[in-house]
Amino acid sequence: MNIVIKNGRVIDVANKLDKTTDIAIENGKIKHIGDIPAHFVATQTIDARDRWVLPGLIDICNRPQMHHPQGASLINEANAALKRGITTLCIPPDCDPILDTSANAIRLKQNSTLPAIHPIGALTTALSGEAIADLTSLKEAGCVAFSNAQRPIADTKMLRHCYDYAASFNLTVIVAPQCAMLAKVGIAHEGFVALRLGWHGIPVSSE
Amino acid sequence: MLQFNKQKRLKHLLTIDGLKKDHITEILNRAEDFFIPHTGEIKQTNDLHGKTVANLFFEPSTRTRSTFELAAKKLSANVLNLDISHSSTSKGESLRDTVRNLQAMQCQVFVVRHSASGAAHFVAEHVNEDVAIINAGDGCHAHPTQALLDMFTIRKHRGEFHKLNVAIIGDILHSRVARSQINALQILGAAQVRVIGPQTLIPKHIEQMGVKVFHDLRQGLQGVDVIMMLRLQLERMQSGLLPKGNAYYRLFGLTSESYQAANPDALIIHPGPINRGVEIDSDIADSPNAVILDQVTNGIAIRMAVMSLLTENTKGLT
Repeated sequence: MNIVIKNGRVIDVANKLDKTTDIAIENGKIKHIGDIPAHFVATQTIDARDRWVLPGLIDICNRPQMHHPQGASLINEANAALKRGITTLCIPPDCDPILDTSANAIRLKQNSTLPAIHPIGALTTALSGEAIADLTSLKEAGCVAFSNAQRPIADTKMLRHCYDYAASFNLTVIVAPQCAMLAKVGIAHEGFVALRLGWHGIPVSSE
Repeated sequence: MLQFNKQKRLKHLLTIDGLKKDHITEILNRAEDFFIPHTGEIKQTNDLHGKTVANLFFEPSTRTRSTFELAAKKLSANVLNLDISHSSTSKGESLRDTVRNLQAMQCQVFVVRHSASGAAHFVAEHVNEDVAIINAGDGCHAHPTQALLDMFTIRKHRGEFHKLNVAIIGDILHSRVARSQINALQILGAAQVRVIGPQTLIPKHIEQMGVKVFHDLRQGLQGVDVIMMLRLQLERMQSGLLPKGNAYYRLFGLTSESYQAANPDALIIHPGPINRGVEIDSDIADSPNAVILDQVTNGIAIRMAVMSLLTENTKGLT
């Protein structure tokens, strides 16, 4: 199937591209950007005037509420993401079960191929902050980075061991820049809105 | 420095750091002379006849202590073994008082093992001129006789140091053996010294000791002629330096597969006790290139050499 997307503002940061132009797609692969050869016959033409044409977006923190009664399943979440142009979902480790073993990471990945599911592995076993998880085996299972999600590692020496261990194998560690203790029970930025609505605020100093 | 007399000869052996090549070579040669040629047997001599060697072990030890005892007996010394972890210090006696008492018992050589870095140095500061102190391991600092017996073993099996690339694998951070080995290898002019392990077990700034750091076992073993294994203490997993389970063995265990990355017939040494399936595969530990048991025998000769040399060098002083 051949598709031509015409007159869109084509933005591709990786290739430093940002201009109004045309794109030709053949069997799901981009074939031409810019001048489309005359022999390319489109089976479908989309006019993207006044619209943006972007590469698939990556959601670096998608936390499906799989066990909440009103929560979305990972499949629902994936389909919704796809409809909004998001083709990759990174799932933080504090899901159920926690992504601290390669089996759990592999099982999660099996849920969807499009959008691609990229697990973020647990930095510590059971996110307890007490023992480094087997990071290299999680990486082999497809984890793209490691994090303790929003659970703090109280023992900063342990946190340093985690950084050191991950650095040995060039693994990426993602740290939630928020002190869980200061942010506790807060549900919104600490400010006038929180004050007016009677919500506990999350102070700036917690970040 | 405290371990030298006025003639720059060794009167204590506290650390390898600061020794000259001649000091080490002298000990290695002397150890060699204690072997009866072509038999592998160690001589009985009278070098320490009438002297008393006190083994002060504030930390448990099996082979170091027993080889020191055997070495002393081969030199015809009297041996006093003090398992201090269960005696006077538990009654509140200070290290200094323990040492003064032993001096009063007329011991001339103190072999000291202690969990605190610097303990042997402290003892050396507080003894009379005619007493020799041998450090048998202090904290994470030094274990000079172990390093010397390793050098003896390497020299015996592989010859000249300047041709050898040597890799030390494992828990460098807590290892007094590794620090002494690195010092000794540098002094003897080894071509390259490497350390291999996860960053959690490699001390910061170790590059300043002139070693190359690797976090990948196979990469680190490439071109290596001598593999020096260290024991992995299982409590390292408890203290959060390593993941629990088999991650360490998978990544840093010496197996017949990972051994292939080193030069053919690379020599394998290990200070013992070995943990099969934790840092080393059984097949490799028992292979002909592993000279772990030879190290134990060499340890007796090295300790004889150190004791006889030090007592000679303290003699002229009093």
